[in-house]
Amino acid sequence: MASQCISNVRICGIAAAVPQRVLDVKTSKAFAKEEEIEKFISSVGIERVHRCAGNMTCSDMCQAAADKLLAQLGWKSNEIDLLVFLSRSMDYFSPATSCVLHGKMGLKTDCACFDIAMGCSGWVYALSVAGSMVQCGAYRKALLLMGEEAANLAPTQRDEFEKYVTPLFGDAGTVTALEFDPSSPEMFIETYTDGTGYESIICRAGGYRIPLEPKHLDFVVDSFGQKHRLIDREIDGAAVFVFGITKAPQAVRAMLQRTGKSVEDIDYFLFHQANLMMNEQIRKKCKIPLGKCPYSLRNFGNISSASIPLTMVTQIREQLTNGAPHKIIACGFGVGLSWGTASFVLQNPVIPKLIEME
Amino acid sequence: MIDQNQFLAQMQEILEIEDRTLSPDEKFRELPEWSSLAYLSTIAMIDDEYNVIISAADFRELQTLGDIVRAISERQ
Amino acid sequence: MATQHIQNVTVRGIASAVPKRILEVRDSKSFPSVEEAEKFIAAVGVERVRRHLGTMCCSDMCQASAEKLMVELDWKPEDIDMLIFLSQSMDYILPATACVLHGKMGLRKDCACFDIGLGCSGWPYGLSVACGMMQSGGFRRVLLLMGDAKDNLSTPEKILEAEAKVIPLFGAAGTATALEYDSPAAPMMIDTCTDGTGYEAIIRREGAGRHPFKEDSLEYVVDEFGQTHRRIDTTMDGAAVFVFGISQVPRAVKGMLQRTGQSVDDVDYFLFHQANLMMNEQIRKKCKIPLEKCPYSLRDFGNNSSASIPLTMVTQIREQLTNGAPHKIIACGFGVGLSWGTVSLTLQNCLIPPLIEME
Repeated sequence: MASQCISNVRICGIAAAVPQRVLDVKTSKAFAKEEEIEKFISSVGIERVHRCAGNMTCSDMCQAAADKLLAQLGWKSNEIDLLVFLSRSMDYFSPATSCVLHGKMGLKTDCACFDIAMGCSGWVYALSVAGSMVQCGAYRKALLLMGEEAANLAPTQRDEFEKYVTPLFGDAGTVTALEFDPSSPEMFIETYTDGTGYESIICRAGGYRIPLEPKHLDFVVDSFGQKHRLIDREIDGAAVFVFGITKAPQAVRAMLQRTGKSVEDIDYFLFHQANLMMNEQIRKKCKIPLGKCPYSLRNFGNISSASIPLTMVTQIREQLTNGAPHKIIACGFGVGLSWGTASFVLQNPVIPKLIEME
Repeated sequence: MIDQNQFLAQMQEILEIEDRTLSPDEKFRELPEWSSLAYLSTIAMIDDEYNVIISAADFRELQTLGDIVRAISERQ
Repeated sequence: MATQHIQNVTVRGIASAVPKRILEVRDSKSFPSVEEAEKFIAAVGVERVRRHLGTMCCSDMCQASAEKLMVELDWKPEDIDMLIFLSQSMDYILPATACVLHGKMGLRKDCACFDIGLGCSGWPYGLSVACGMMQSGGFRRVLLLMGDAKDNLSTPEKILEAEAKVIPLFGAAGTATALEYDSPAAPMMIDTCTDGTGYEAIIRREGAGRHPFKEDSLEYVVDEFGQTHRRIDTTMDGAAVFVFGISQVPRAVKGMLQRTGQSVDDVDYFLFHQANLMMNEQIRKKCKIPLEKCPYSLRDFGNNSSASIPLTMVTQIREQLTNGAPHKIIACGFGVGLSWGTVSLTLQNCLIPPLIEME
């Protein structure tokens, strides 16, 4: 049973960075008709997404968020014992982007660095991996960098991509800082997988199963009627919807039961920001009032593993930093299929304002 | 202390040069016998014999065999 | 200091699978002359590597290793609480290959699955992450799958073209290491380190986010170190890697000996990532380790990235490791990142099936 109780670990801070450039859904050329835009906004719940310009990558945004957070926490770069980069938007296939960041951020050599390849369930998984490593005391300060880009695009490929592909995904980079702290309340984490659904969200080409070829840069219409390149995400929307509205409520209820809590006891439920219809269905099935369920979807879109920390930074930053303890349940779900829930208390976390990068 | 003549003899062995003697002014990168393999052998030999490891970046700055000798003695 | 003390995890088994097809270095057309091939063999120490001439992925070899190991350990799919796939040769950019394997192997839904992206330092790092997570008891039986494949090519014609151009240093292999929560277990100590200032020493420059895939990314070029490969394949600054290896690895091994209060004599085997013979021999000599304590799989299998250490156990010292006696081991993986990790552990009654060869 992939169920953990982590003690001695405190979530000290969370920061997020997005590109300044905004892609407005209303002016997107990816829709055939104006009515479709309105339909998209009302059902998917996204009005705009931030997207990288120039040569900016996910790791640049994560680094900006980390630098800002380190400064506000007063942590020195030589105090970091563990850096995890969780994303599918890596700088290189090899080396690990965590190693590249280690060099750029001037960390010490006895610092463990590795990448985790996950998507929407990532924030919970990273907490599970890094939280376990920190709780034993060998790693005292850890940085979890998480983010995603909508697609792997050279500057010359961007216009074409934005012309054809529905703006569901945004770009962002985030950081979550963990510290070994025996006075910290326990954190509960549960992680799940259903690999039989691995094709529900998939980049078909670009890995070793279908190696890269020039033709994979061509835009094609997939079996679900969506236009994109074979190296971009293909989504079986119906399968993902059924998965989300079944597994996420089950997992949240299991977590409430395990921790002996009811919905009323929890201050915030933070869900991966998938799409409005699915998230609202999940919220209603869990009987969570809207006020406890913040959304960043409207202004930032779906940003995979960055969705949960970005929601904290952009939607409930003032509440979370008001000095009071906040009981939170976070639930990430999606590509894999993979999902997980974390139940924890946030008190006095350092949360800098959202960083917008040129 | 590094003995320059001994070092030159060691380099001759690595480069398999038997028909002539190498001088400290020799620009080793221009020798036909120099290769990436010879480079690694040189780093290994310096590590073994003089207990010194010269970083790849520092080594790039060195032009002649005499430069290597100086680099070793500076690090001893 | 990133040193972990693990008290309650036992390595139950190790298995490895390779493609059946052998590429002989002496037959390789990538060398301009026979003398060059012989020089390569003498210095780098690789005589042959395993390569598949089709679409076999690293995950296929890992799965074969894991399934064989599970049969021998009598572990059922429903017993597995966590599966980690550590590799730089993933099936897909999305989803995680661990999830794909989860589906194919029929594991339980409340099983944690994720990928770790690391190379040569992978075995110690994988143990560090898995054992770190297992310490609290939430995961009882864990599969740690790792390895890498050759260059990422789609047809036999393209594979043969690459083999005629690219020097055969890397082999293909997949491995499985089975871990069980066990209290008390023989203590394990793990150090994990990074020097990201050297990230360009071993790098695949094109294809991912920094330099996205373009039409010309698949063209063969000669890099600044004189090596032929495609822009999306590995470029290696051999000199920088060599200096890194012979400086950091002996230091890491000596540090581990000191922290565990052991001398070289107390340890039965030192297992190093199989990088190349010159570098590995230099490391061995600097640590003053006798040759018989330092098995090599390099000659017959080449450099297999994260699979090198478990593959060496399976192919070189399997009989010794399975003779019932306890064996003290120090393993050190080092390379791309630059990243390195050292683990000190005792293996006893570890189950090691013979090497699996896949058609």
